Amino acid sequence: MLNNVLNFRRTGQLLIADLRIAWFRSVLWLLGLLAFCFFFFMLVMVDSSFTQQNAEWLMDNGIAVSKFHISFFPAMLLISGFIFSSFSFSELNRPSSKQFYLSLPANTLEKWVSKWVLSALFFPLLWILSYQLFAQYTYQWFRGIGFEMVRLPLTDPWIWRWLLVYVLLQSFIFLGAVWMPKFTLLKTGMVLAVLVAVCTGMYYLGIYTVLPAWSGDFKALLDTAATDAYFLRIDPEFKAYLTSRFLLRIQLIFGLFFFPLALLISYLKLVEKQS
Amino acid sequence: MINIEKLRFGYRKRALLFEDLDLHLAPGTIYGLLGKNGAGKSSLLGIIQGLLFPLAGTVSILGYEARKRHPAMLADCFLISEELYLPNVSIHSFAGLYAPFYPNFDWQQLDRLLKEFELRGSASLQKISLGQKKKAMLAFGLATNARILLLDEPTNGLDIPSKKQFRSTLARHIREDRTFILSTHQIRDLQSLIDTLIVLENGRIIFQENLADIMERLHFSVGYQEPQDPTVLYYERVPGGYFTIRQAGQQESLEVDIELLFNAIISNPQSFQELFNSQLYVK
Repeated sequence: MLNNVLNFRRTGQLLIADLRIAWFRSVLWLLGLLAFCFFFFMLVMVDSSFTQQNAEWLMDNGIAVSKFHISFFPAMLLISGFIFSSFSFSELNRPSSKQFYLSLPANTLEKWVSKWVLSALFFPLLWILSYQLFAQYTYQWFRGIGFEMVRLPLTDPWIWRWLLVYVLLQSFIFLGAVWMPKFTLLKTGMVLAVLVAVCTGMYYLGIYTVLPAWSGDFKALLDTAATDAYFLRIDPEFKAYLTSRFLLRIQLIFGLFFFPLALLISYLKLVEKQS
Repeated sequence: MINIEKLRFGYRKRALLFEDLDLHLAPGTIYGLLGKNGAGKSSLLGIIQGLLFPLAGTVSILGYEARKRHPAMLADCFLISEELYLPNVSIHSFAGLYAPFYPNFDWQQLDRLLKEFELRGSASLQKISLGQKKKAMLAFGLATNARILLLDEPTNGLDIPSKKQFRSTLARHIREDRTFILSTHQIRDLQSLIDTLIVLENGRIIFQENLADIMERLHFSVGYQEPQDPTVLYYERVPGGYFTIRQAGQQESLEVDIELLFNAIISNPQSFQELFNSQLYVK
């Protein structure tokens, strides 16, 4: 039964074919990203005169440098992964490759799964492993001048939490790649921006028209809270609690609603693709 | 094998390409699909392959609904389109990647065909000529042993010896359980291959007859004088005289000239439909 719905041999073969056809482009992309990381790192170091082992600078910026990966790794993971994902369905760009791809004897679910595995799991995992090289290099570089840098071990759950964030957000780009295979990133970005603007607009319109009285109270409450927060200095623990609650809610909304919805729509769009 | 009923299709709902089109194709036959530019030949092949979806009607291929693109159907229905998809790999690598999708793929057959076409398996698909690319895809398509082979303008880009080779290869590979559909403008290249002629015009099949029946019903001749007799269905001036199609009589006919016949059908479809549907004519 499962074999009729999702044949693992065919799905695996689709993955192999994708990797074989695109291996050169993917390796170039990965090497390019790593080169960019090294270049960016050196640029930061040269810019800050750190290469001259300026002790004073080290004292002032040591903490910031040790946290280099904390902002750089997620940014690179998301940006590189989104760009890679935007090319997931590059076959659908040209009529000849589109015909060939849609004619391949595998069902739509298998084609969809193979592309998703490649862009949502395979690429980021490969990127995390590649980033280890970079992290190791920076670690050794700093160690050479007697400074302990964050090592970013693979066992750190922080890395895997970012992978989860990537998988959730990538679903939008993946949907865009099926829906708009040409200039995916640009078009998806624009569509998302419009959607966010419309949703925000509707939200405020709803508050100010349907619940005018409540909106006034709400605004007053917000103003008071802001003033209070500024003057009274909200307890950091309470603030952290609020933030975690907020983040948890955002994650839940994404994980339970937007993520499956984006994936479902991307599958349905692939089902109805015509040459 | 291929059953299309009441097909309605158009790229826009207001401009239909096919309206209530019926088509039933049997195995063991090489069909020649002819039509003017824009008649919908490539679209019809796309619909059969499940690449285009009808607005209404049923398209059943080997018992499967075409638009569902069932893997078993796609493994048994191979389309060689006019524009080929050729990744930057060798012919053998290409076959290695995609042959596993076709359960009846025959590697020995592929190697035999490549040898016949004087192609090396190690040759890169992007570095060979257009004619060689066509031959490589034909070799792959035949080696899949798909029961339905759809060929869209297959002789475009082939030189004269290659066209001959193409014809003989295709003729050797037709079997009782196989159907080949050749869509082409260059009918003279494939004239000797075709068993049954299908003519598409204005969104309908206006003619579908096999060559034996055509020979039985029509008489092809060349004369020096402009034909005037009432049995003349169509004539065309050619260098040195007039090529004429008449209703078959006692005289011996020349071979069927499909290009002439196509022009005749397009210019006066009704008279040919009446002739082939008349009670005297027993299929």
